[in-house]
Amino acid sequence: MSVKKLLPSILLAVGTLFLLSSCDAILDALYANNTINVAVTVYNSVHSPGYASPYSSVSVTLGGASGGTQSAYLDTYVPGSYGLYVLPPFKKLPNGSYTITTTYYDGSLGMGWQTVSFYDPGNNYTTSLSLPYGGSTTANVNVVFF
Amino acid sequence: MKKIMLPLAAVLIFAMAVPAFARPEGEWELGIGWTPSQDIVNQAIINFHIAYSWSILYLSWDAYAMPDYWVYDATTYVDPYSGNTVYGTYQPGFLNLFDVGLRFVLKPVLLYAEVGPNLLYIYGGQIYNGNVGVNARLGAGLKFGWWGINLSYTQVFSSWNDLEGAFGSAFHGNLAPLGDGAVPTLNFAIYF
Repeated sequence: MSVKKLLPSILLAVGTLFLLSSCDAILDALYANNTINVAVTVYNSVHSPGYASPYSSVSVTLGGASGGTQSAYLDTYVPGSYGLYVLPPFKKLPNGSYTITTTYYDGSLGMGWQTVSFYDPGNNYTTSLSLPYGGSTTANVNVVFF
Repeated sequence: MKKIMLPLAAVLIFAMAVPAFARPEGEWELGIGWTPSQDIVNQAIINFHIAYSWSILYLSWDAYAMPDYWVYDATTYVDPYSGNTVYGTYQPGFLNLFDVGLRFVLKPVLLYAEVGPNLLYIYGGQIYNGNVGVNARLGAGLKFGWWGINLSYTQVFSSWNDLEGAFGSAFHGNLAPLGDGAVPTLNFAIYF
C-alpha cells in the first residue's frame, strides 16, 4: 500500500489519539476561567500601618499549574485601609494547584520580606491553593506580613 | 436494542441498493464546528467531528466542548426515591454524539440526517453514568472536493421514546418537538 493511501488513515489516527489524550487540555484551553485575587496586608512589626513610602512595593509570583508574575506598587494602595495592597487578579487560570510567593519591599528601610504561605478562601493558613475552590472559580487570597 | 437494530438494518440495505447519491467507496472526514452561545453567558461552543460515510450510510462522532454551567445543569437531578436534589459537577466537559444516518451528496450540495446516543465526558477523566439522552440531527451544506462547509441542527432528547414521539408528531404535521430549541452548528470539514 502506498504512503499516499496510508496518509489519511495515519492523520485520522493521530487526530483521534490527540483528541482522546488531551481532552482536559482542550477544555482548559477553552474554558479556563479561574481567578485568584490577592490582597496583601503589612502590619506593625514590618512597618507602621499607613506608612506610605513612595518606594515600597509588593509583588506576587504564582507557581504551579500556570506560572506567571504580577506586581503591585503603592499606587494600588487602598486609602483608608492602612497597609493593605490589592493586586491585579490572576485570570484565566487552568484548574490545578497553585503556590503564591509574595514579596514586600520597603523603600524607606531598604529591605524586603518574603512569604510563601497565605490564608486561603476558607481562612485556612496554607502554602497552596487548589482551583476550583469549593466549586467556586474565584478565590480571594490574603497574605499577611507581620 | 431492537429499536436501533431495525432502522440500522434498513439503512444498510438502503445504502447498498441506492449508491447513486454517494461515493461508491468509503470516505473519512474530520471537522470542527462552531455553535453560537445558547445561554446568557456569551460563550460559543466548539465541537470536533470525525465521520465515515459509505454509499449513503453515515457514521459520525461529534464532541462538543461544553462549559461548566451546562455540565452542572445536565448532571443535577432530583432523586426519585428521596425527592432530594442531587447537585451535579461544576466542571466543563465533552458532550459526545455518536450518530448513524444517511448522507446524500448532489455535488456540490450535501444533505444528511442522523440519530444516536449521547455520552458525557467530564473534566478530570470522568464518564458520566447518568442519562444525557439521545440526539437527532439534520444538516445541509456544500462540498468542494476535499473540503466543505455545512450547517446542522441538533435536537437532544431525554430518551429514545421521546425521540420517537417527536418524529411521530412530525409525521402528523407538528414539527415543534423536533425543531423547537434545536441547536445550530456551523461545521467545516475536510474529506479524504
